[in-house]
Amino acid sequence: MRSIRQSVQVNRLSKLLFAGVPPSLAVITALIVTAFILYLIGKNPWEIYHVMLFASFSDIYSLGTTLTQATPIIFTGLGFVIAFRAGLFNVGLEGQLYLGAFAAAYVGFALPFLPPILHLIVAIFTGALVGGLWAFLAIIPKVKTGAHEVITGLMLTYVAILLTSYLVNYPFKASGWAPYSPFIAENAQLPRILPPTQLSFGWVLAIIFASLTYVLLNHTTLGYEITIVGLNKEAAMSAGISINRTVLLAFTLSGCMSGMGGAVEVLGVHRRFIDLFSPGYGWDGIAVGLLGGLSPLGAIFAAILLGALRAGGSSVQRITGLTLDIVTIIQGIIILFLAAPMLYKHIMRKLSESSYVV
Amino acid sequence: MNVQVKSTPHTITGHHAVVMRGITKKFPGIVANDNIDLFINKGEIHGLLGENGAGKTVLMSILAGIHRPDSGAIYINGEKVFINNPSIAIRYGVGMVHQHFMLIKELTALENIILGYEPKAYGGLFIDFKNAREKIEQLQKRYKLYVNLDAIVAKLPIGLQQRVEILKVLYRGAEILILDEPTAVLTPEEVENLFDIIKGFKQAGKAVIFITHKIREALQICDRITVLRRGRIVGSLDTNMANPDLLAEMMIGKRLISETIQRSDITKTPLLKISNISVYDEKHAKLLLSNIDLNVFSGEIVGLAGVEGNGQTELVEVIIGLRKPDVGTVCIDGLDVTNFPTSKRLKLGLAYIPGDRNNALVQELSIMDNILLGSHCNPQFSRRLFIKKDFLQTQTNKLIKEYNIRAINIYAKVKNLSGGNQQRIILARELSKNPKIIVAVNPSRGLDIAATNFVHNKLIEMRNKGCAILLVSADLDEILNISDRIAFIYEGKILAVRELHELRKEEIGLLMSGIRNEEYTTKRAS
Repeated sequence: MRSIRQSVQVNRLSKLLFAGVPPSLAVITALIVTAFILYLIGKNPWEIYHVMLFASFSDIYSLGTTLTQATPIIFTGLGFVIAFRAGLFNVGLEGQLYLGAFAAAYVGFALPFLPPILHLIVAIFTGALVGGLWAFLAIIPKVKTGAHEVITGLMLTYVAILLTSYLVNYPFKASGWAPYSPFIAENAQLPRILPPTQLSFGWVLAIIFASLTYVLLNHTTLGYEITIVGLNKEAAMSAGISINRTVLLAFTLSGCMSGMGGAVEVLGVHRRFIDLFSPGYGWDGIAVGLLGGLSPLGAIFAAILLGALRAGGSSVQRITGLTLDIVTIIQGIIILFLAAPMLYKHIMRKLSESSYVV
Repeated sequence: MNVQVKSTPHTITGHHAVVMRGITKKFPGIVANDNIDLFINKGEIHGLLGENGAGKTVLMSILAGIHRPDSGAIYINGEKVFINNPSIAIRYGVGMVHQHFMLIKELTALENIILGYEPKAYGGLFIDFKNAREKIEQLQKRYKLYVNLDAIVAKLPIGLQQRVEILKVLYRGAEILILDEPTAVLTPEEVENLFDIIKGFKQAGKAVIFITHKIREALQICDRITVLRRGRIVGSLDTNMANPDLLAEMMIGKRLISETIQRSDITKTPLLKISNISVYDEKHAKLLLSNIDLNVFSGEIVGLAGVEGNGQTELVEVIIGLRKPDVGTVCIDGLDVTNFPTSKRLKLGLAYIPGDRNNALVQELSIMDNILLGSHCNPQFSRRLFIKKDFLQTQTNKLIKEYNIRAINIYAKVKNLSGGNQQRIILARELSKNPKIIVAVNPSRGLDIAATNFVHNKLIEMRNKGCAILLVSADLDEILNISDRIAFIYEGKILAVRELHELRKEEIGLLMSGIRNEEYTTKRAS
């Protein structure tokens, strides 16, 4: 009995380690390829990587910046993972994030009479709700008519970004020249936990919700149904699981996560809604989800990595004069290598073949 | 009854369009063709008759170059040939129309027909559609194979898609046409049209090989009939020497009906009651099921016998709740569940063993997670939305022992287990629910003898506990082995329901191929 239990544990450990191999390989390959590109444009890659690493983890300030950058993309990453587990591709995360952010900001500045903690909770959950609603709008055509969620999600993202843009430029524009909303009431602001950095209590919420997502997916009947529907629809139907209900719930929950990410960003960092505030947190969610091996806890690590790249990227820009785009390039290459596990297999096979030939 | 088989002269002469000698083809675990000799004359419609899995399609796939035989030789027009791939078969004039059409649905009929053999124009840069169209129109006129050449194939009804498939083969210059179960997808009128077309081929001097499991059709259209059973030739005979009884016996052999199993006492109220169920196809044109009535009582196994594709799948879907019937009701233990979703029916004590293991198991998940499937909302396994993992673990360990499932541990992924072990998982899960009704579809398909016996014994054990079991199987032996009553389904209708002991041997083959006994006797009398 004991030996079985031990072997199970070993099995699980090796599984965990094994799951981490492709993402690590992707990151390492991406760094090597980027180094080559940097070398080609006449920069010293080691110097730049050094600056980047130094700027993201060396002291409290840079760590705070890294984690601040990681916070919203943990949420969008969780959103991506939940939908993906159900076999759905939520590319509308960016739109859901924007609308969630605006809704939270609205509750924050328009309902100043709410008592302290309640105001914050209402703001966060309104953000989640509106994000979920936007995802619901994207998935209902799939359930009813079979429209693909990638198309609807993508189109609704443009609508969402432009809609919030309109709202903050016209009806809810604060006085001044910039398209900003009024400031959120102090009761609704997420407290900063590592001054002077912008790191807010939102980071803690991100960890909590990642854990909750883990429990949801691995220990509840809903999570089980989501997994089954994602892997084998016929088996799900034979087992009496409603595909439509599960798809709707999973996608809406995914939108809720993204909306909450937007809410946390606005309530914790900016304290008001700023037009086009997101540098692509929703899109990063896709990268975080994939890089994290589609696990909620993996998403945390992946988000920290991408956050570090972003935080480091701005320092690189400041110190070496290289544009922030280099971060986007690294990120793109990581995804490219992640999305191509077959590539590794192919390379491995070629290598083994060539060794036979010789 | 003696089976008289006319021997064929074993000389290879020019008047044979095709001669296949000593063809043997083995697949892992099965001999699909065992030393087969086949002679096809020129200008002859030759029927290849046999049950599912008799080896008809494999034999013809060898002739069409899709499979290579392990041994044996093929002669076309007296000349020994080596057909290594389909394009060589086409070069020798062999064309096969498959049961599942090989068409690109998004392209037009014309584009499909010329695919791979496009006439070129302007130095090979462009397709000479005009030339192609002229050629095809000639073929259409000659064989009355009319179909709109510019129609998108997906929008054509099945009968016309089949014409496109036949035109494709003719366009490539086929002199020997193989039609694999061509009538399976057609309505009765379409079948008549097809038969006219086939007769046209005969007049043009082409040899036609007609694969079927329907005795009636073979008798109607063929000049000669060769019967296969379990990969072997039973015999070839001229159609005018044949009759349904003889062919039926040649097809299924002399079956031993075992009566060793003691049947338990049955109750008077049916646990599963199917009344007057009718189901139309998507276009509401064809009845897939018509007026099905079937009762399954507590403590009995009812076998649903029939060649696959006669409505079994649809009937099971109606019972499980995956398909809504257009007419009729399904009752479980006296309760009308016609409008209930699957989940509610399962809660009422319905267990389902699907024909395709992939519809019952999630290959990527562990044994434990698969044991949970369908029971995850059962209070035994979950409390307030949370799955009781501890209970699930002990239950899975218990079932692994009880059902002798061979795996490293309960976390092993199902995809790494053998078919027999996968089937044991499904049985373990479904039977441990203590169901009232079990619907089992081909429960022993692909299993070896030991695993098959295990499955059968488990089903009998459940029957003796008072379960009502509906056994749907394409394997007649399985049905005859463990059923108490047998219902025969043909083209969406229940032809007859018989107690096992009152079933006459000679009746079985006839009922399987859609001939009710009284029908046949009246025909013979008249």
